[in-house]
Amino acid sequence: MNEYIIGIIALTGIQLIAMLGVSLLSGFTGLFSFGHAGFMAIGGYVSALSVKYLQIPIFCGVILGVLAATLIGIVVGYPALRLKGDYFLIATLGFGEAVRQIIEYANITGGAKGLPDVAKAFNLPTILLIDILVIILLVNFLRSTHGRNCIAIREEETAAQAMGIDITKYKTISFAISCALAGLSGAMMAHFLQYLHPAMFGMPISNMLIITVILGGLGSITGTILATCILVPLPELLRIENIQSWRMVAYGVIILLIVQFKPSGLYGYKELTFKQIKKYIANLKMRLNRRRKSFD
Amino acid sequence: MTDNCILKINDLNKTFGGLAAVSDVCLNVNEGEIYGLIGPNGAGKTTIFNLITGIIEPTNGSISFCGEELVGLKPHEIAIKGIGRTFQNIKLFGNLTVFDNILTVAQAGSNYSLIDGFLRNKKCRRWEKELSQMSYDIIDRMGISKYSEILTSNLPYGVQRRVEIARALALKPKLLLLDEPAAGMNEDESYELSNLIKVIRDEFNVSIIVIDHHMDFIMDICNKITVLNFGKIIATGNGEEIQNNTAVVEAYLGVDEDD
Amino acid sequence: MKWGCDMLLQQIVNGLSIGSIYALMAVGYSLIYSLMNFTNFAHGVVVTLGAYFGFYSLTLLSPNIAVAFIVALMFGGVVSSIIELTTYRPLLLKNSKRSYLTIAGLGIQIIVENLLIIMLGGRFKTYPLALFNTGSINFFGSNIGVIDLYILLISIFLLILVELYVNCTKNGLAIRSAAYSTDIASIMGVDVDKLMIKVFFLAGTLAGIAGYFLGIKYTAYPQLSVLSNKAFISAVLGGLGSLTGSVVGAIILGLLETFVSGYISSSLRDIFSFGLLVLVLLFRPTGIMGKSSEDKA
Repeated sequence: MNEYIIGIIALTGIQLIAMLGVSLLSGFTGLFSFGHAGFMAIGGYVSALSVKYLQIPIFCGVILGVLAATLIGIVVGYPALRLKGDYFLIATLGFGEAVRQIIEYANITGGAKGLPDVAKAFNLPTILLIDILVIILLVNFLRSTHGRNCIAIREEETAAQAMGIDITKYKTISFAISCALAGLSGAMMAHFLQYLHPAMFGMPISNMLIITVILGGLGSITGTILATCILVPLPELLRIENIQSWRMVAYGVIILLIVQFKPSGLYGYKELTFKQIKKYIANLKMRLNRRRKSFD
Repeated sequence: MTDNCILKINDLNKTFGGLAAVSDVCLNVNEGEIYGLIGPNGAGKTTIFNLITGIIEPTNGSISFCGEELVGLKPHEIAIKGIGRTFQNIKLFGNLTVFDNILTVAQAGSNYSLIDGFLRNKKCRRWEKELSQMSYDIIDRMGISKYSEILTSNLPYGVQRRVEIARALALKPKLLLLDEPAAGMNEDESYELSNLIKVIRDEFNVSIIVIDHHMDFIMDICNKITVLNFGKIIATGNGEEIQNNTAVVEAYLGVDEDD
Repeated sequence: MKWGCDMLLQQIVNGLSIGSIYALMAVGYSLIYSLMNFTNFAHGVVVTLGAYFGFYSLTLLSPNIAVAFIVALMFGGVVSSIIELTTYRPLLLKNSKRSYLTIAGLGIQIIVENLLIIMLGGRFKTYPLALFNTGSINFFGSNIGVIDLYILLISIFLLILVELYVNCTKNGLAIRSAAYSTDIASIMGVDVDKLMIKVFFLAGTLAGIAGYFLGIKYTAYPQLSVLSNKAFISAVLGGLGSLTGSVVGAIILGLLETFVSGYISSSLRDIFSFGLLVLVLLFRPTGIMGKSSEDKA
C-alpha cells in the first residue's frame, strides 16, 4: 500500500488513543479538559528524551511517558476536581499553556525548533493492535461498576453522591486514565514520526480533541472512533491555501450547531455492538433470501 | 416494633448569609417509623434533608444515625452508612435505562477492583451477575419490570418517581428520605403510592421520612409528623394531634406563603 | 539585572499596569460567571476584537486615541451582547448544561480567531505608537512609562466606576441578587433577560478596553484571546464569584508575573502563573476573598 496512506492510517490510530481518553473524561464522566494536548506532550517528550539520554529501550520510555503524564495529571487535576465550579476547566487550560511554554523554552526539548532524531518504533500493525487493546480495556471499564460510577457523575452529580459514589475519587480516576491514554498517544507519536515539535501540542490540538469527541457524540466509543476516522485524515486530504483556517472555522460552526440542535452528536449515548452487527447481517440475509424466492 | 431510635437530630441550625434556614430543630426517628415532615414552601424541609445527607454542613447541631455522628461526613459516606434519598426535582440518570439506574447503585459494599474491572476476569463477572440479580430483584419487587429497558428520561412522571425510590432502595438503606414523592400525582396515584410506601417499609425493612404537601397522603402513612415554619418546629405529634393544633392551622392558612 | 530601588519602582508600576488590564478582563469574566455560573470563552474574543477595533480606528478612522478608546469600548460591548443573544440565550432557554455553554463559547473563539487569521493575516498589527506618548517620566530616579501610567490610572478609574455601579445602583443590586439566585431575583421582579444583556454589555466594554490597552502594549494579533486565561486565573486567585476578589487577584498576578519576568526569566512567566494557580487550588481554593461555593449551591 502507498506509504502516504499507511502514514495517515497510522497517525489516525495513534490519535485515536488520545481521543478515547478524552471520550472517557468528557463523554462518559462529563468533565472537560481544555489543555489535554499538554499530557500528550508530556508523554511524547518524556519518552523521547528518556530513550535518548537514559539509553533505555523504547518500550520503557513509553511506559515512563505514560506514568509521567498520569502522575502529573493527578497532581494538577485532583486539587481542582474536588471543588465545585469551573476550577478544573481553568486548571487544565492553564496547564496546557504552561506545558507548551516549557517545551518551547527548555533547551533539552529542542525548544521552538523541535526535537529531531527520536528513536523509531511502531508500525501500522502494532498501532492497530494497541488500539484494539485500548478499546477492549476501555469498554470493560465502562461496563464495570467503576465505569458506571463515572457515567453517573456525568448524568447527575448530586444524585450520584447521594447514591454512595465518591465523586472526587472517580473524577480523578477518569482523569488519570485519560491522561495516561494521552501520554501513550503522545509517546507513540514521538517514536512513529521520529520528531517532536511544540506546535504538535498547542491549543488547536487540545481543541481538536474536544471537537472530535463532541462531533462523534458524547457517551459513545463508537462515535469517538467514527469522528476520529473522519477528522484526523481530513487535514491531510485538504492541502490548499488557508484551508486549515477555514477548516477550523467550519469546526467552530459545527460545534455551535451541535450544541444548539443535536447535543448528542453523530452517535451519542449509543454504541454499535456485535449483537447489532449480527442482527443487521441476519436481517440482510433474510431480505436477500426473500428476494431470491420472489424471483422463482 | 423495637423502639430503637435510628436518627437523632439535636439543636440543628443552618444559616445562609444572614438567613436562618433551619433553627434549633430537634427530631427523633424510630426504627420502622414513617415520619412526616411538613410545612409551607421554604420552611426548611429540603434543607434538613440536605443537612442529613451531607450536601450542606450545619452551622451547629448534631445529627446522629444509629449512634454515629453524621455531621462532617461526605455525602457518599453517609449514603453508604445506610441513608438513601429521592429528590424534589427528580434526579434520575436520564440517559440510562431503568435497569442501569438501579444497577449503578446496587453496590454490595466494595466489590471488585479497577484491575478486575479492566480485565473483566472471573471475579468481576461473578460480581456483575450478582449485581444484575439484585437489580432485577428490586425492579420486580417495585413493580416496574415492564419499564426496565426504557430510558428513564422517556418515562411518565409517576413511573420516574417510583424508579427513583427503587434506585434509593438499591443502596439497601436503613433510612429512606423521600422528598415530595407524591408531587404532581392525582388522588388515585397518591393512594397507590401510600400503599407502596407502607409495603416498602415492611418488605425492605426501612424507616422512612417523607416530605410532602398532600395532607391525605401524609395523614394516611405517617406514624409521627413534625411541622416546620420558617425553619423552626411549630409542632410534633401524630396525625390527629397535628390536625388539631392551632399553630399548624395558622401556619398553613393564616400567614403569607413567602418563598 | 539590577536589584536597585529604581528598577523596583519601575517593575511595580509595570506590574500594576498589566495587573490592571488583567483586572478589567477578570471583572468582566467574574460578572458573567457569578451571574450565570459558566466560563465565557468568548470573553477572550471580545478582548482580541477590542485590540483590532482600536487598531483600525487609529489607522482608518481617526488618529485620535480617545476616539479609538471609545470605539473599542462600544464595539466590545456590542459584540459581547450579540454573542449573548445569539449563542447563549437560546441554550439557556433550553436549560442546557453549563458545560455546553462553555463549549459554545469555545466554538465562537475558534471561529473568530481563525476568521481573523484568514481575513487579516496571522501577523500582528502594531499600533501607530507615534500617536502615543511613548516617553517616560522620572519618578524618584526610575523611568516609568507614561503609557503604563495612563493605563493604570484609567483602569483604576473604570474599576471604581464598576464597583460603584454594582454596589450603589439599582441595576447593581439586581446583579448582586441575581448572582445569588436567578430564580429568587426574577420572583422579586428583576427582568433577568434584560439584566443578562446589560451584564454582557458591561463585561464586553471592559474587555474591549482591555484589548485596546493590550494592543497598545503588545500589538494586535488573532491569538490575543489566550491572555484571557490570565483573567480566569486572577478570578480563581481572588475567589471565583467575587468581583473584588478578581481585581485583587489580577493585581497580585500582574505584580508577581512582572517580578518573575524581570528578576528571574520572562520565559517562566506563564509557567509561574500556572504554578501559582495550582498552589492556590491546593491550599486555599476559595481564593483570597472567596465565598464558599456552598452559598452558590
